[in-house]
Parts: sequence; C-alpha cells; structure tokens
Amino acid sequence: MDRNGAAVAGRFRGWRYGLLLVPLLFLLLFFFYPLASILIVSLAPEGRLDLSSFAELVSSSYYLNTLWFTIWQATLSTLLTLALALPASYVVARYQFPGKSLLLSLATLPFVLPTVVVAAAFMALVGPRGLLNEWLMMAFDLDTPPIQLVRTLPLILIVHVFYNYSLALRMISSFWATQSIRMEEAARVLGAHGWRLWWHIRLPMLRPAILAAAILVFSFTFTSFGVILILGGLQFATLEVEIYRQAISLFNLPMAAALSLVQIGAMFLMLVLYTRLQRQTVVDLQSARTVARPPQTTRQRLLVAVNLIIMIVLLFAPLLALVARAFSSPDGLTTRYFELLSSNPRGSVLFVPPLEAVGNSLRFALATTVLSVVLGVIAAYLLSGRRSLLTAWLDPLFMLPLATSAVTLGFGYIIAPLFVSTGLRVSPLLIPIAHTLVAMPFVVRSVLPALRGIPRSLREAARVLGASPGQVWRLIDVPLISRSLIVGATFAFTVSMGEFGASLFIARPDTPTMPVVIFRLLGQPGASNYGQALAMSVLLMVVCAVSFIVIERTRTLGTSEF
Amino acid sequence: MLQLHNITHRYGSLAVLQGIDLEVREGEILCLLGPSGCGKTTLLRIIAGLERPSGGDVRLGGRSIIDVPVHRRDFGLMFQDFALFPHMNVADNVAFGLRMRQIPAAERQERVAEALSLVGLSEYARRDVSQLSGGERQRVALARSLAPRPRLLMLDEPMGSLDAALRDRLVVELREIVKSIGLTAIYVTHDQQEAYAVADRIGVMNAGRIEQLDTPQALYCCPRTVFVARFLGLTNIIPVDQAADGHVTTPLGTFALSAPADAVLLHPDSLSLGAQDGALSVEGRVIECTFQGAHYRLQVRHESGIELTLPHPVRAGFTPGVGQRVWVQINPDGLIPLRAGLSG
Repeated sequence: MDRNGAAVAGRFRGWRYGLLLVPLLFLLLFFFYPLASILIVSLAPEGRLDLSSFAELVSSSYYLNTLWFTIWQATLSTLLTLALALPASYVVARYQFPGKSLLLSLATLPFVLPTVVVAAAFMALVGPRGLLNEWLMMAFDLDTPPIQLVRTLPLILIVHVFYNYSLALRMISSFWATQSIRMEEAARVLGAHGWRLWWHIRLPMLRPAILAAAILVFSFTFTSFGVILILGGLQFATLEVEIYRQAISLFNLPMAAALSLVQIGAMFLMLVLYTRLQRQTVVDLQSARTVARPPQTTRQRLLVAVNLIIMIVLLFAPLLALVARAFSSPDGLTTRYFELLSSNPRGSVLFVPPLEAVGNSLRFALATTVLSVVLGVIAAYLLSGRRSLLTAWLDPLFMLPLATSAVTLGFGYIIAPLFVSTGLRVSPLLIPIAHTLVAMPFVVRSVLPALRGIPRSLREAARVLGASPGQVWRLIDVPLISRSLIVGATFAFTVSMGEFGASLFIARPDTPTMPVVIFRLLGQPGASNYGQALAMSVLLMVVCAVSFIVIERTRTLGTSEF
Repeated sequence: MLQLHNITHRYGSLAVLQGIDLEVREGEILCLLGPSGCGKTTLLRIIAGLERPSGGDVRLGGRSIIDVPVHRRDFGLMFQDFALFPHMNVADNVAFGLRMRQIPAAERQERVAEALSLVGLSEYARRDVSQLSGGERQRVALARSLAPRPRLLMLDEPMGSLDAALRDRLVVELREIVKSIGLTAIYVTHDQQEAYAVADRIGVMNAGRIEQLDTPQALYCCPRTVFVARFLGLTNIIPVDQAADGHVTTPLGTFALSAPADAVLLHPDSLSLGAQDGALSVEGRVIECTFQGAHYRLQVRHESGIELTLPHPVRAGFTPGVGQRVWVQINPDGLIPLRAGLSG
C-alpha cells in the first residue's frame, strides 16, 4: 500500500485547517481583542465592575439627546434618500435613454469617495467661501455669503443623500429589473392605475429591496462620522462623533467605551436584520422580466428628465465645485494650493509637509491591499468549501468588522493594553492593520462568489488529468477568480485611501494620512489652509476615481456581491 | 486489469455501495447501468480516486491503488457537464493533461493535434470553448481525456446533456474511437439503449449492488432478477405462487422451469397470437391495441387480472379488436426465471 499518498492527503487536510487559523487569529487579535478591551474599560474601568458610566449614559439628557439625534437624523436621511431614489429607480427600471449605462456606473462613484473628500466638496459648493456663495455675492453685490448651510442639519442630510442615493437606486432598480412585469399587467387589466398601482403592486413587490436599502442607508448614516464632524460643527454629534470627543478631547474613556457598546449593539442588530432579509429575498428568474423602453409620451419624458437632472446635479455639482475651487483664487486660476502642499510653513497644524501624507496614504493602502488580499483570499477559499456548520458560522464572522464602526475600532486600538505594552500602538503598522479589517470583507465578498461559482467538476477534471492540489489552485482557481480578485484588491486599496474614523485615532502626528490632513486643514482658518484642503481632496478624489474606473471595468455581471 | 474487491461506501448512515466486486478486462468497454441514486457515479469516483471508499480495495494489475492520489492514477475521466476549462481554448484544454505530465512542447503539440483529429475537431484548436456547441464540447472533453493516453478511460453519463438525435450518432462514434485505440473504458449511464450500443459488457446496478453483469445480448435475453428485467423495460413479469420440482405455479397456469424462480418473465419477443396449444397458451381479452408503425402493441388481460403486452405484426393479416377474446402463445425459450433480488 502506498502509505506515502495517504500521508500527503492527510497533510493537505491539516494544512487546510492550519491555513484557517491565519485569518482567524488576525480577527481575534485585531478585532475581538480591542473590542473586548473596550468592554472591560466601560464595565470595569478600575478593575472591578462599575456601571457608573452606563448609569450616567441613561440618566443624562446630554447622552440621551445624542442617541436621539443619531437615530432621527439617520431616519430622516433614510426617508429622504428613499423618497428620491424610488422614482429614480422606476425611471431606470422602465425607461431606456441615451448614456444610461454610463450614468448608472458613474452614479456609484460616491460609494468609493472618502467622507472627507465629500465634505470638502460640499464646502466648496455651498460653504462660506464656496462657489455658489461667491457667485451670489458677486451677482447681487452682497457683503456676507447668503447661503448659510454649514453647521446646519439640512447640509448633513443633503450629504447623506448624496452618499446613499445611488446605493439605494442601484439596489432597488436592479431588483426591479428582475421582477416580472406580468403582475403589474394583471393589476392594470383588473383596473388598477395611478397611486393604486404603486400602493398595491409596486411597493409590496419591491418591499424586500426597499427594506434592504433602508437598513443599509440607516446603518451608514447612523454611524456617520466625518460628515458630521466636518460639516456639523459642535452642536451636532452622532454616537460616533461623541465617542471620538469623549475619548480624544475629554479623555473620558469609560464613557467613550460605554457609547461604543451601544453603537456595537445597534450595528449588530442591523446586521442581523439585513442578513435575515437577504435570506428571504428570492429572485424570480423564470417569468418575464421588466424591460426598459424609451419614454413615449411627454409626461414620461418629463419624468425621466426631472430624475436625470436631480441625479446629475446631486452627483456632479459638489465634485465639480471641488475641482473649480481647488484651482481658483481671488486672482483667477492657480495651482498655488497644490504647490503649497509640499511646503511646511511655520505655524502649520501639521508636523510635516502635507504632500508627505500622499506618500503615507499610498504606502498604507498598498500594505492594506496586500494584507487584505492574502487574508481575504484564504478566508474565501475556506468558506467556499463544502458548506458545513463551521462555514455557516465563519461567514458572518468575517463580515463583522464591516458592521463595526471604524471609530470604535480605532478607539479599541489605542486602549488595548497589549498594543500599548508592545509598542504596536505607536507603530505605523497599526494603520494598515486597522484598514485591513475594514477592507478584508470587501475582498471576501468579491472573491467568494467567484470561487463558489467554479463547478466542482472543473477542479476534479484537472486533478484526474494529473494536477496536484497546488496546481489546481494555480491553474484553475486563480485564473478564474482573477477578475474578482482585482475588484476586491481595488476596493481594499480605495477603502484604505479614504478611511478616516480609525485613522484619526491611530495615525501618528508624523505619519498622517490624506484624509487626516484634509480634516486638519479644513479645521483651520485662512484661505491658504482652505485651498490646500481642497487641493488635497482633489488628489484623493482622483486616486479614488481611478480605482473606481478599474473596478467598473473589471467587474463582470453577477460575479460580485456588491 | 482493474479489480474492485468488496467496495462499500456510506455517506453518514446512508449506504451507497454495498460490497461491489468487479473485474474490468483489458480492452473492454464496461458499462455501469442503473437508475439515478444506484451508486454508479460514486463507484466511478472511487475508481478515479475522487472519493475514498469506506471499505474494500481497488487494484490495478494486482496492486492496490487505494492510497494513490487522483492526480497520480493516470486515468481519464469525462464528466457529465464536460468540465471544460472556460479560461483556456480548445487546444489548451486538450494539452492540460500533457502539460501536467511535463511532456515537451513539440510532442505535446503533436499529441494535441492527434487527439483533435481523432474526434474530428482539427480545425477547432484555437477556438474558445464558449463558442462550441454541445456535441463539440463533448468531443473536446473526450479528446482531453484521451490525449494523455490514460490506462483507463471513465465516462460519466457523457451523453447526458445532449439531445436524443445527437446522442444516437455520438454513442456509435465514441465506441469506434475508443475501440480504434484499444482503450479500456468504464461507461456510466442510466439509458439502456446507450448501454447496448456502446458496451462489451453491462453491469446493471441497483441500490449499491451490481445485480447482473453480462453482455448486452445475454442481458436482454435472460435478465436474472425482477429489477433488471423491469429496468430494461421488459414487461410481462408474472409472480410465482408455488415452485416445486422443476415446475412453477402462476396465476396464468403451471410452467416447466429449470431454475428456481420468484417470478417468471414472459419475454415479449416470444409471445404471439395463435390457437390454443396446451400449457403454453393463455386466454385473454384484448383491452388495448396501439399502432406503433412496425407493429401493434397489444394489451391482453387474463381472467386473473394479469395483463400481457406483446407485439403483433402489422402484416399478420388480421387486427384484433378491443374486447375480442384471443389466445396468446408462449415460445418455451421465452420463459425466463427471475429472482426477487440478489441472494446473499
């Protein structure tokens, strides 16, 4: 008997489980351990159980107000987003118009744009020094900017809609396109039209997609950080912002930790709701799908036109304003702000020339990409095997970091005793590690469906033809998932470039990232700081836009879960 | 050449294979025939090494290969879905096994060309596999399995995803190709017509056992169990009430039989309408008469309630009407003893 062969097979199985340990250990050490540290600091700050932070949290009207504001601004943002996205989804699902696919793919751009860039873009559009105010002041010869949106709730809501509009649009319209049009035709024959059609047929039919979109939008706006911090000013604080303030400004760690726990609980609830909903969503692929046609009547044309104008203005006005302001000064067109980025004038808020942040961000993003691709591919490879109890548990486990706010994570990193004692807390390595936690789920979600989509017989055919397990992986799996891998890697890179919440906690003053620099510059008075912030935002936007083009070009329909 | 010794296999508590003994002879095409779920594909996967049996041994030329991993067995396996690699063109697919065996490029090209010409696809080498029709894919898959000159070729329902017209033609082609290079092959199917056309010997499988292993002719003429007879589509299986010293008593009467039987098959080919003729004729009433082109299919009900089906030549000169009383004559060669299942 060939005992050697059996040993090889056994070693392969052992090796597989050994491999599993790598992403698990990473998750344990850099996700669960910092969260556990938060738990300990909040529940037992002095080493014994002390619930006074929680008592203060539930008894003080200040914290309850924060929680209340977090919830209702998220609710309002979600409703506004859906109110705009629903008619647009109808237009996208039903009507064909020139440039539709280009517009739709451009509409996903906000998804990859960092919050600081978006905040800067809205500052450039409607801020006191913004494009609109400048025009209005010139046109009507005013002394003060007429549009006073900064530090108001409407601006926060507008930015939240900017972020989530295309997400909701994409989710609802793509679901709509898979639904049979027969149901609606039957209802029409039976005499339904107008609002009845919406109320009795369309809304119930779209319910799963609308709910899923609502949960995602609510989660994103519930944990809104950069937007509120930069555009909201001191009087607005979500839980996320409050955690940051308590930890960094007031150094009230137990309170920050208690707030983090509330945050984690809320996000976990959203995750559970979302996954349950996903399981219920069954796509009907059998019957006639909804087909898009060019608009026929004047009313239809008007409907399409209005929605397109909203979409285009909402998406492009702030981004164009950002570019315009970054290149303009009172004396006309200029590249001065870009040049200033490489200098480090005395009295600056930064310890290094801002341009160094570009190098830092690129280095961190590359490290994040490598790390999250390696870990994400290992995780996806293991999850793609036979479905078992183990994979049923591991799959959501690897997704958990997505449901945890970056600020909470960053906070966990700075208080985790092990990180402090080993010096990791001050190491620049911590940034790519934190970014990897946020980026890895994107890699897993991109690669996993591709791996699962490879028929088992392909691998078996290769094995029968003489390929060893390693050769099967190299010659069959890797080429077949390469597109998804590029998409996942690009996502990881983009996420790292734009990550703000965790970086703000853990970035060292001498190695700031681009978003951190933009935030610091925006917080300073003076035209020069403002101009530099916009210039840096333009650079970051260009990097993200390039990544975005790579993703859009590479991804094939149905191979990615985004 | 290949021997299976008492192969058993279970998935959890489900016994998929219950003691398979089988010898595949050098140069023959052996067909495993059976309904879905009978274990034939599992058996094939065990031979290929894709699955490790719960018990028993697989031997090649007298040596156990049970511990030899799949990629070192040097076998060929053609999958039902053909499993062509979508990221390679036709030539690269066919060359894959040769590349794994580190055959030099020049010889590799030669053998790819040879394999492709064998299946009549020489012009297709540079095509993408997505541009091929079902029949072409099947032939590429065959060429890919043949190119490394495997010691044993296995085919798992290779016609399964093709339409019927294509199937009849390709089965014959396939047999010719395999025979022309003198390959030993195991062919798995659930279609008896396909098995008759392709096999030298057929093993009929049921519930994890091989019930009968015979040439196609012997199998059709003399099925040995009720299951085999039914699976081959043979009707007129009559239960036996009593069996004693070379005779069996059935609701239709008593027949002389040389072997013990749990049931008797009245082979449809050996039944005809005629006059009463002693013990080997049965009276009944025609309850159905269906024109089928070459003949009528008659359904005759005996007073016991048992129904017999028999062909009736169109050119016989008369057509029995429904309700008419007739005598069915039985050719003694067509009396086949059947066992209920495998004894022991």
